[in-house]
Amino acid sequence: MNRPKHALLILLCLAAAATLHAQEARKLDGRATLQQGVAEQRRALEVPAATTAPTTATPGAANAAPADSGERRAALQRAEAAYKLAATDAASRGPALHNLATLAAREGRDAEARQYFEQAIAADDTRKGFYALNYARYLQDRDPPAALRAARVAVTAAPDSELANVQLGALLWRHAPAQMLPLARDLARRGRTELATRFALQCLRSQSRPDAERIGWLTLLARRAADEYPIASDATRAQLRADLANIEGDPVVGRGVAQLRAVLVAPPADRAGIDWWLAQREPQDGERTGSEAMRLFLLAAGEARAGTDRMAAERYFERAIELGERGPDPEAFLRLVELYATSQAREPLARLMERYQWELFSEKSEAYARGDWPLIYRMHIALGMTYAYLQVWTSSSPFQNAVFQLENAQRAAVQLNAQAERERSDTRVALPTRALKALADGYRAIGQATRVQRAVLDGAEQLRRVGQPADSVDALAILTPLDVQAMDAATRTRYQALRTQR
Amino acid sequence: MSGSPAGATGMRGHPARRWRGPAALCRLAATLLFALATAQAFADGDKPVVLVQFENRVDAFTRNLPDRAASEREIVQKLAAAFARRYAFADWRATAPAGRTALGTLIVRLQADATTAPSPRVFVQLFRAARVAGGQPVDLRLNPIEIYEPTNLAWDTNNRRAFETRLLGRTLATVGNDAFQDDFVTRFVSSLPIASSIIPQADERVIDVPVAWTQNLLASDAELVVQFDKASRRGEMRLGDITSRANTGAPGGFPARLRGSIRSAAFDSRPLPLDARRWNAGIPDLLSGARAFCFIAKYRERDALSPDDDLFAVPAGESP
Repeated sequence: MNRPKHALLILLCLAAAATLHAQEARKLDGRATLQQGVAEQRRALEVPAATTAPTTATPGAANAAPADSGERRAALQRAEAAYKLAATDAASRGPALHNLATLAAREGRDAEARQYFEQAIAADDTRKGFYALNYARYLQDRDPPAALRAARVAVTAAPDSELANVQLGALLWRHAPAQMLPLARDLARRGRTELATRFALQCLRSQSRPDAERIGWLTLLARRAADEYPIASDATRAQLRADLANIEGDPVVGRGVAQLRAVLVAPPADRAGIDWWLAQREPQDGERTGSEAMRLFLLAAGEARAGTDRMAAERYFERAIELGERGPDPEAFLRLVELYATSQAREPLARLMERYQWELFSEKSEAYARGDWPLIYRMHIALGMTYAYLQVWTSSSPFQNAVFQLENAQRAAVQLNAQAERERSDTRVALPTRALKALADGYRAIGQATRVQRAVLDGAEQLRRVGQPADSVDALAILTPLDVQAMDAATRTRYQALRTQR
Repeated sequence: MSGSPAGATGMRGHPARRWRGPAALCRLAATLLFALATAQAFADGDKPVVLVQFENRVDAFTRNLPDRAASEREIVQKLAAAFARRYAFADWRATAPAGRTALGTLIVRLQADATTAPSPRVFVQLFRAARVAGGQPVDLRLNPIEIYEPTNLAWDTNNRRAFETRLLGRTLATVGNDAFQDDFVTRFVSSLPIASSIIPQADERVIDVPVAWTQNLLASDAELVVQFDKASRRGEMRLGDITSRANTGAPGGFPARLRGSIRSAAFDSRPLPLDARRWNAGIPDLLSGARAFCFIAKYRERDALSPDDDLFAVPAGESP
């Protein structure tokens, strides 16, 4: 045992504990002192005065500080002294500086008020947003650019705070209205759609903004209606309709407003019902175009109605098809295909194919030309599965059947994976077991059972290569004992290898 | 407060010999400081716990998805974080901290609807876990959140990152939307009992609700509903103008109270008339000895930048 060393260690520990204790004591002092200051400030504000004093800093306070009674002044001085003391403790520094700022603001000491606000914002991350919000309010008439900066600090600190966003919106409206649309888009993206809508209606109603911006605001509302269709109540949609009613006379967006109000209730009968939106093809600041927003709305509305009102859903989807970027919209087309397939509506499906086949094939050719393999794969597999579901294995044209579409889906998957390999993307696809089964059924139905073995083994290998070994083994179950018996030696070796790999 | 400070509990189990000598003094000091800090954290932040579970009921994913367990942990954490951000009155998490009981459990279930053509639709449906062990989850009957449409067989069964992106992208966009809130509150949040006692304050003509958390996370335009029963007869009160009365020293170890004035009240299927100050003199007697539970009926979150008691606000400017 080394007694002197131990004694030294004990002393050090005691010193450390004493320091910590002292720090803790100071912390408590700081908080208590802050509370004393708050109590004094409250007392000062409650004391009857000859003239009515503003309870807090107001924009006009700098020029119109009331004459305080002696008692009030003394209480405010005691509050200020307490805050200054509390500001020396890290635990109470932020609120103390902030309250000092409000006192200085109240008495028209502008430079001091600013300094205290800025020190509070820098000192205390936990309540930075609150200090910045109050700073923005204090500055809003004195120094709008600085007020805007402070409001942005508040929004950054508390992105979901309505108080902060409303303050920023109010400042932007007065001093930089063109920046309101990006703020509202950001709010809408984060699901804060009610406030975004308030901003949109304000800007649309005022009719003071440029045409392109007003179109942008209406697009934002259409996008909101699209995103919320599956979750919003009828009352919410009715409210949006009512809110939009008094903008229908707007010379630039009025027609679009009327058409949006109409589709909120019922599908448009023809293209004329969405012609304003069809013309909105110019993207704004990299955002979605008006026509795209309306297409998304029609898709959402069609989807929501599909279970209860097929006719309405059909119309929504038909109009959405017309709003495609490069021709018929493939997503809307596939939704309509799904609607017909689910209800076994073969004739409408055939008419739909007849109506769009050339445009779609031309669109698919363009997709082939630009190497859009995800779209090509998606189109082939959707059409292939639909035809298989309807048991359409052959057709007068070479492509209106399940076998053609699924064979090409399998080829597209190979191309898509090769492209992903080149681009070092981790996207890999393989014809799912369900689709392989449909392809095998197709071969059997058209008397080409010998092609089943190859299709299934190719498919199983593709599934294994893309990391779906369980599905790969499942796919082999598509083969009947007769298929297996009929295999040549090389094919049987492939089959056995696939069966035993895990 | 629920739960004891972890440091203090741990200290009791240590063999006495470890507490001899100078090094032990440092350990003791550190442990005491840790216990103090932990107790402080609990005192400042205890919110009721709501559990979030993710269930994958689609075979194609359960059989093929790489690192499925890790993926599902990631998904549930992100879902819990999204609910916590939107419904900040509670601590949404995957598992309850030791010694704490959850108010309820939300189940986010991925499932497939095989009746759609040409392939199944894959979607997320929300359920509330049964309150009794072995009970069936209750479908919240919210609109399903579509993840893969029936014409899209390009499921990301082999690509964990793509699967998580698609599932979370679609689910979080829905649960984070203003339009989702009202139905979700009606069908799930309002089923969570936030308190199991109430205190009528006849002098002030209000009802106090002792709660086990100190942060005031409800806005004044939120609404609470109190359901009570007495002698096999049921009653209900709807409370508005919600305020907090923190650290009142309320009985039962509850550090804080919510307070509300009565908007409407009924007992035994009959409305209780309220006077101009929203009170009925018979309420204290009626509630005496009654069993009561309190729920959130209308959720309005307190703004993150609302002033605290120790801060003076500057009035808001002109709103757009």
